Amino acid sequence: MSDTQQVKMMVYAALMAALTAAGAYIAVPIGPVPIVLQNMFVLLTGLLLGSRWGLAGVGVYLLAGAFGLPVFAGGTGGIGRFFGPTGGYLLGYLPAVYMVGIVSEKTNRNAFFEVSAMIGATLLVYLIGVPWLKIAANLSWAKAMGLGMYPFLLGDAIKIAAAFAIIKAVRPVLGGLNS
Amino acid sequence: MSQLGYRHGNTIVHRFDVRLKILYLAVFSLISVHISWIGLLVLTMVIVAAVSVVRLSIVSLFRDFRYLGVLMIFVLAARSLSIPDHAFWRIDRLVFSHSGFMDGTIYCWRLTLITLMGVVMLASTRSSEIRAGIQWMLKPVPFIPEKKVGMMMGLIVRFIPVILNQVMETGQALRARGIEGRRNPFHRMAILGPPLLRRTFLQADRLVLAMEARCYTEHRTERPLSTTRLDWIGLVGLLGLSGMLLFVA
Repeated sequence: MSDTQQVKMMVYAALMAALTAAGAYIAVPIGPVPIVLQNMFVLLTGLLLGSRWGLAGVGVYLLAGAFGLPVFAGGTGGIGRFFGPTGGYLLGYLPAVYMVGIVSEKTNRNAFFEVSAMIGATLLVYLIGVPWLKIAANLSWAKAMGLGMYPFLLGDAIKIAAAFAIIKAVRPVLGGLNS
Repeated sequence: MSQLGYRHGNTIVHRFDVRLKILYLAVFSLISVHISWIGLLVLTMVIVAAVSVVRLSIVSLFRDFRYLGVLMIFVLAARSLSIPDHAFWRIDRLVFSHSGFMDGTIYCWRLTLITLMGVVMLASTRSSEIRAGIQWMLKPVPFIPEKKVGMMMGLIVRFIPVILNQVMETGQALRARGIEGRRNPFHRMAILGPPLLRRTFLQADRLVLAMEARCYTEHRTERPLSTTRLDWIGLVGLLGLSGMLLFVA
């Protein structure tokens, strides 16, 4: 990769991280409960930037939060968030974005595999986040899943569908970023 | 978002070295887990003082961070359900305990304080200072390219308010076209996403061009970081306050 491309991808990754941070403040109402768009932007980062730069973007986003910048859901931040009940979900973003990115790269952006990767990545976030929540908040499995997974599944399904629609709309305009 | 981003000024909070501000954030973020409500009260006074010194509007802060409230409801529910004690509210088989509710309230209080500290930091520190501070802190860490990470972090700080303004503008344009009539959340997201991404990447391209035009390289003159007497007083204050808060806890 040339120096120009390196700089370009670095700026893209930083702006996707900024978009992810901004997604913590953008909410779309589903009935009475608003859902934030943060994890939709994590999935879009993987799809647009690929595994390596996607991982870099999300890694820097998490680091910004660890340094105390208000970039996590609802505008929170701080190293303490990683040790709290939601720390697992945050760390789960790293394998999630890598998974989406690598599947998108290896399958030549096949729609079926990309949607499957987004579903898998979302489940991966829960796979790390729910046990973490269970331990950190000292909950039973049923309560941990009831509080940390079930209420968000509908929102996640909508986010995956929206991410797919968005990626189809913007790829022709943005060109082959991760190709 | 009116309160997220740098606000020009020369207040005492602005004049603190960025490394000290990051240290304050990290230390308070970590010790807030261990302190009681008395400690949180002291911390609240310190942070409210910082908010007023930087001249942030409390009303606008409440408006900008309203979704933190949703997160807090979930935290309160989780704590109330998980900590066994006498019930103060029952819904079918779900029992919300009194101790859990109190514990959750403390947790949410803590979360609010950490968020406010982050906002004060953003409001009182230039993105170039944040970049330099983070680079300085990451320098001894192996396998992390501190200059790249510092640069990316500076861009994040610089662009969050810009992106949020874009979201607001796009939202207004969509409302003008009757988006409020569409309740379907999928439709709302699918319509908001493409213009937002397009504009963000357009900005990224312009930024790359500007960086190249200025011969951007990782090996460039860094912003000098220096400490003054004020920073050392601040450091002593941090250590003293942290010690006192932990002692009270």
